[in-house]
Amino acid sequence: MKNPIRSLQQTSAHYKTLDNKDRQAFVMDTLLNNAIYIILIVFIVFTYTQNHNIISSSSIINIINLTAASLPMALGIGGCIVLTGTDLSAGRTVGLTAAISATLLQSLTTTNKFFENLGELPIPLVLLAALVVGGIVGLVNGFFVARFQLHPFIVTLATQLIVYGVCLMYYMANGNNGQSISGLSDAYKNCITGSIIGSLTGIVIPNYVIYAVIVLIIMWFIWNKTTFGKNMFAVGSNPEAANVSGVNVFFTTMMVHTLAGVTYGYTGFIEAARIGSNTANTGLNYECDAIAACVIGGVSFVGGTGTIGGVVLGVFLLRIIFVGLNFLSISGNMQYIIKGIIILLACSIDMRKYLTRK
Amino acid sequence: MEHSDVLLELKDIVKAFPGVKALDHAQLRVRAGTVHALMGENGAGKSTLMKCLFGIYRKDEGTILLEGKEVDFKTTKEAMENGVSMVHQELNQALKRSVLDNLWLGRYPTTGIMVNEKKMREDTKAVFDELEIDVDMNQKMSELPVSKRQMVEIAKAVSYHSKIIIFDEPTSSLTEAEVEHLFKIINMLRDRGCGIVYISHKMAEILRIADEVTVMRDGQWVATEPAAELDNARLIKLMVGRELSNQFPPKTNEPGEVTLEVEGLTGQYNMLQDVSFQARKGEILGFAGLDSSGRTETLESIFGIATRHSGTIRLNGKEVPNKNSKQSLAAGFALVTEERRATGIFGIRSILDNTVIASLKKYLAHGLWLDNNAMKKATQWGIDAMDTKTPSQETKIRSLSGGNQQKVILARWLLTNPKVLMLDEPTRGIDVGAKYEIYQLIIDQAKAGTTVLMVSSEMPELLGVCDRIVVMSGGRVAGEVDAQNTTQEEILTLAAKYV
Amino acid sequence: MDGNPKHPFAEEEKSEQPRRYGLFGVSSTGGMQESQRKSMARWATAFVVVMAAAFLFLVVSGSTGAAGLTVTFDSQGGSEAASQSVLYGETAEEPEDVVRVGYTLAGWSLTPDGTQLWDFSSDTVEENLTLYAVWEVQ
Repeated sequence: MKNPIRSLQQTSAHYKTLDNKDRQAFVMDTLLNNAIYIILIVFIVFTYTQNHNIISSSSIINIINLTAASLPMALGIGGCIVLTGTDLSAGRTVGLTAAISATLLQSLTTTNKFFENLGELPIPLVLLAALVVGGIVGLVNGFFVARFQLHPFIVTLATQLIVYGVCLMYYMANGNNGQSISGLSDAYKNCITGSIIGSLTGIVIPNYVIYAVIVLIIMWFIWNKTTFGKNMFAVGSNPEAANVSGVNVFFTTMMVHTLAGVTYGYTGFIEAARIGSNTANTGLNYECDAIAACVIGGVSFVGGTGTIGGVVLGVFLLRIIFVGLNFLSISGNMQYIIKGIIILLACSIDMRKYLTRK
Repeated sequence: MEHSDVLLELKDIVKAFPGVKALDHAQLRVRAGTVHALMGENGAGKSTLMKCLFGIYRKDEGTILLEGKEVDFKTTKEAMENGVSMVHQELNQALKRSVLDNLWLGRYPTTGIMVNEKKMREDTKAVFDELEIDVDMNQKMSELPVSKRQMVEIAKAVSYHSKIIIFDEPTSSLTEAEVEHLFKIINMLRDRGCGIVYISHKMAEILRIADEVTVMRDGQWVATEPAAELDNARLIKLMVGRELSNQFPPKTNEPGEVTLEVEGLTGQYNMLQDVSFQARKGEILGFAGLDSSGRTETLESIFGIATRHSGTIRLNGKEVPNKNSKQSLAAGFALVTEERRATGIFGIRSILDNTVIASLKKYLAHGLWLDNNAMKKATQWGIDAMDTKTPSQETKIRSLSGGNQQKVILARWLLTNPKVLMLDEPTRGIDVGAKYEIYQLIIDQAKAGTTVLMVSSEMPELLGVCDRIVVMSGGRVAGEVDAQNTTQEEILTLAAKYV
Repeated sequence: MDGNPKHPFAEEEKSEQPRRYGLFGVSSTGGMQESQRKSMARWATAFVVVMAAAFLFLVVSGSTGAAGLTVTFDSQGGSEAASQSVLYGETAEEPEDVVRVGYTLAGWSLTPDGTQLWDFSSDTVEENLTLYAVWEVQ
């Protein structure tokens, strides 16, 4: 991680060397490149003036919780974006794995239990099942992208539909006939939404926040400390050069998508308990927020660049905006428009950075 | 030669890139009703000159006069509308559209807002008949053979009422009969008063079709002479005759026994045919030849990134499969590619990432995770050894100059401790100072016992750095020469053998 | 596609081509000339400014945060209970002195039939709502 103080020093030293005209351009550039952060500060200040509850402890904890819930998926999809691709199947995969997790971990006393005679399964086993299912979806995505050089947009568009179909069929099976699945076991609910920190310190932060931090550390390790991570950035930056340098482009591409799929499986496992009641529409459009968060966080569409810290920041910022919009009591319809504009803003900043490079 | 009007004149064109003077007061004078050939080695400046004419590059100095009036085209379209066009067989065309569309795209004759299809067809037929071109105007371009596509390009140029038509290597993909037809058309255009510029390496053709020949060398105008007064020997002498100054480090390497044996290398998808040669330990083996002679393909085939149809590669007696870059790396091969921006650098990544990418396994602590300190040390070694100028290891490589980028790539490959180091145009686009440093590095590597294969289009470089030189032509080995005992003329003659 | 043919020499600059920029792979900035890139950069700058302005404008104009949300009280036959203005995320205050002859107040509910009781100490207001009085016969 770059030393921020040193980079500030370097920046000011550079600024001093510029003449007047260049200085103007420099300031303009800095403002525009960081427009999102500037907008965010203005936004927070404004929201506070309208409804000071945004800074309340419950609100901050809520923001942290929601960030932790959407972070793993953003980390997974971030890898796909580094490869100059995308993944539209993320949300539906979450839906499917959420359904699988929920149906395998219902309380023994639930009415309308999905698997009627299923006893108590060990929670880690169900987690593994979710990860495997998610991983398989990712593997299929990755295989088609890597082998046939199809653009990830088309491939994941297709798998999105297939996964959704499978999910719908799953909900119809076993006499469930499309009803929502709830009545999860207490052990499962406590594992995910219970709060160890709460019982220790009184600040009620659910367990899935801790798990999200673990996922964060693992992904940071993969991106920064493994040859796989270095290879991923190489392939995203210049696949031909990567091929010449001895990187197995096919394998790397496949594994990036598979890893993303695993994060979707994990997210499904968490969401099932976090939401409590799941339908085939669980997970719908989750990928939009995840992709937007990545772009805001500096994972550029041109590929080959991005940091874990950036993704975290992006998820966090986006979440603050979404929560803030609620605190401002902005109508739901208008919220859609504003969210769309945020995404356009992030993309245009990214595009501009790319176009104005030397 | 009668004094016809000068149609196009490029005077004292100067174009410099950082560290490199691509054009140094280049001249070209094309008279009406003549075929004017433009010749020179790779890098002589022919294409740069044309790019300045068509507005792709902005010239630094000099004037361009079209029929006596000064012009300064900003785009190719502007040039075409003013009567200067280009014929090139590939790439210019919308292959999925019909011949008709390709001719009139962007300038459909219209009545009001509707396309006047009748006029379009009539005009097309008129041009085709005039040039005796037998092409169905409704056919899709992709269905036509290359020679016919070229005819369509010529028709397009004529339909723009072009007075100046430039042909760039027009006969590379043509059969003998098609070449005859092309020459017939060129003669027809010439007799009509057009000025034809004909760029080619094929000396026999040039002496046949051209009226005047301009030779360029190192971005400078060398000579313009009537074709009737030239022959092959004189042409070659004009193209290469330069002073070989002392711009190379002393050669301290000593070639030893044979390490690399390449036999019968034939390409699956490229033009290589039965390429065989040997290279020795501590030797610098140069590869000379014209464009498309197969030198890059040879290196790529040995390294495994171009598919081989047949042929064997033996390193120190043992056959190596080298089916892909990973296998080649493991066997001790390294390849610095020709176009560093396309296949060499990871532009958006740092110097550190660009340096360590090929040798990542070496920096694994306990075989599990990458040790940052080890990578930084290796990168620093690279920076020091190559004397790379960079603010820090974290700088994005794309902000470095071409020479420094090349040094980073060299460092990348040297960190893999290769037994065979293959370099494809290692000093292209690099200033003179950095070139010397790179030559020194290459010689040092050879001194340490590495076998070095070096493709280069710069004759002085080949003669000054290499021990032996393999000359390739048309995908085959045309001959091998000893760098100390050969001349540039001998090399160029060999290079033209199978063209 | 306009009539500007891609110049054959431009192919030599394949190494100069910037990477494809596209979520969907259909747009490509390959082969752009310098002037084109500069003009696109200017458009991108304008776009950034416009989007930022649009965002701020919509947020400010769409916001009713300070005005708060309205909690209406329907006493279902009892005495008047004034509606309250509550900020998003806050709790509401239980109205005082709401009486009905012959009944005691059991609480307030989200539905008229009294099945979803509202806990004034912990339930936070997230949208405009009406609370209905729940009466028990004395």
